[in-house]
Amino acid sequence: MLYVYLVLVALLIVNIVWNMLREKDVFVQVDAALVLVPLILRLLLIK
Amino acid sequence: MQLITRHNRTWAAVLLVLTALVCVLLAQQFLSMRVEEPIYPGPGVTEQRMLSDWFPGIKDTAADTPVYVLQGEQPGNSMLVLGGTHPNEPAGQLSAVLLIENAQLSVGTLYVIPRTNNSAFTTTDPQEGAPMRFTIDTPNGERWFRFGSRATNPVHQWPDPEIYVHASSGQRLSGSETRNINRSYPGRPDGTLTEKASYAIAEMIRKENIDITIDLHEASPEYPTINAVVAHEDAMELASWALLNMQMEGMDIMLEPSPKNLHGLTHRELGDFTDTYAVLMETANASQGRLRGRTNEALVVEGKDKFYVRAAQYGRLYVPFDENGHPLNERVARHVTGILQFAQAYNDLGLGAIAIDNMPTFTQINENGVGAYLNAPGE
Ligand SMILES: [Zn+2]
Repeated sequence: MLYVYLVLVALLIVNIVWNMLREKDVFVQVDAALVLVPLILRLLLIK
Repeated sequence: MQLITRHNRTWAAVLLVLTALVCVLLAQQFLSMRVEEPIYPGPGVTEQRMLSDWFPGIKDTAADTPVYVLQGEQPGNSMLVLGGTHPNEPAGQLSAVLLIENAQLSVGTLYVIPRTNNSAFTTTDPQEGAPMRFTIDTPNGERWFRFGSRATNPVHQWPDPEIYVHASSGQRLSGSETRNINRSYPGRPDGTLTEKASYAIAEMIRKENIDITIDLHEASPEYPTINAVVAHEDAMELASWALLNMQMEGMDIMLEPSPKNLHGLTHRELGDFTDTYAVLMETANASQGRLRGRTNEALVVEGKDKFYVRAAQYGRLYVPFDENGHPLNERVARHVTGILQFAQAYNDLGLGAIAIDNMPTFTQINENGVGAYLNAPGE
């Protein structure tokens, strides 16, 4: 079960980064960066 | 307002670098919670083992935790003290450490687990603003301890179910309680990490024929079960006797029977599923309460809070609460006295023999502070 959730987190991160690179509004890009922090920490099983 | 630029990829790159930097800084902080506070065993400790010795299913996991064995000169009966069931209730861990660093057994055997939910020491509870550590002054320097979470680190057991169903009773609780070790007894060898840990403790009690098990807790001052002993029905006589002696030492404490329909707790399941006398003790900890003000190290150690003083004036609390608060010294003094009185009551009632010596008294811990009985760093 843990690994299924980690794969979901990884997909979400890829998706967010992908959209961040194509996004034109810099404030939306900042939002994306903020959302990435907890996702990355969970993917690495740090927090 | 929209700031649209052709250089959005440049912005993205800058932001990604910043994100990485923030992640590194946060990771360093979060990972520092995995560093264990040092414990310096006293001459009474005859052996240091790991909980996985009794159930290998938790070996090399975050649930495995040290078990300190204090074997007496003469054979006798045995007691297990569980500190750190809930690492946001620091008097439990600290009382266990005090035993490890001071106690000497002349008769019987004492087992001490200072970090019962070892994983829960590696994180703090979200949205509590709690400090990660607190320090205690000793005559020869500072000692530090972690202030952890009530439940297993989600990183070690994830995800939580919507509803936690207690395995042996079918009791339904909110999903996050699945990581609360004191809702997981008697545990399961093939269950969650938390259930495996409580199973290991039950196995240890069964294999070592441990006669008395004392689980050390703290509670919010507004919680009804406080300054109390909760005892399984088999342990009621022992607890009543111990309680009388505690009261004679000047401790205000009450006795509550373990509710039969409240499952997963030590005082219910260890009493039902093993032959041990299962009891639990509670003291008053403002730093875990809902009415508290600023949550910092001082609140953990000194236990003073003006909002609790006011709540007491309104008659909303189950313990007296004045400007002096309930410092860690007082809370540890209560736990230690309770443990010693349980051993004494066991002897007095003719149930067996166990003698824990060389421990400071209620008054000594209160007056000199816990730090006076902690070994110096490096000792
Ligand atoms: Zn507790």
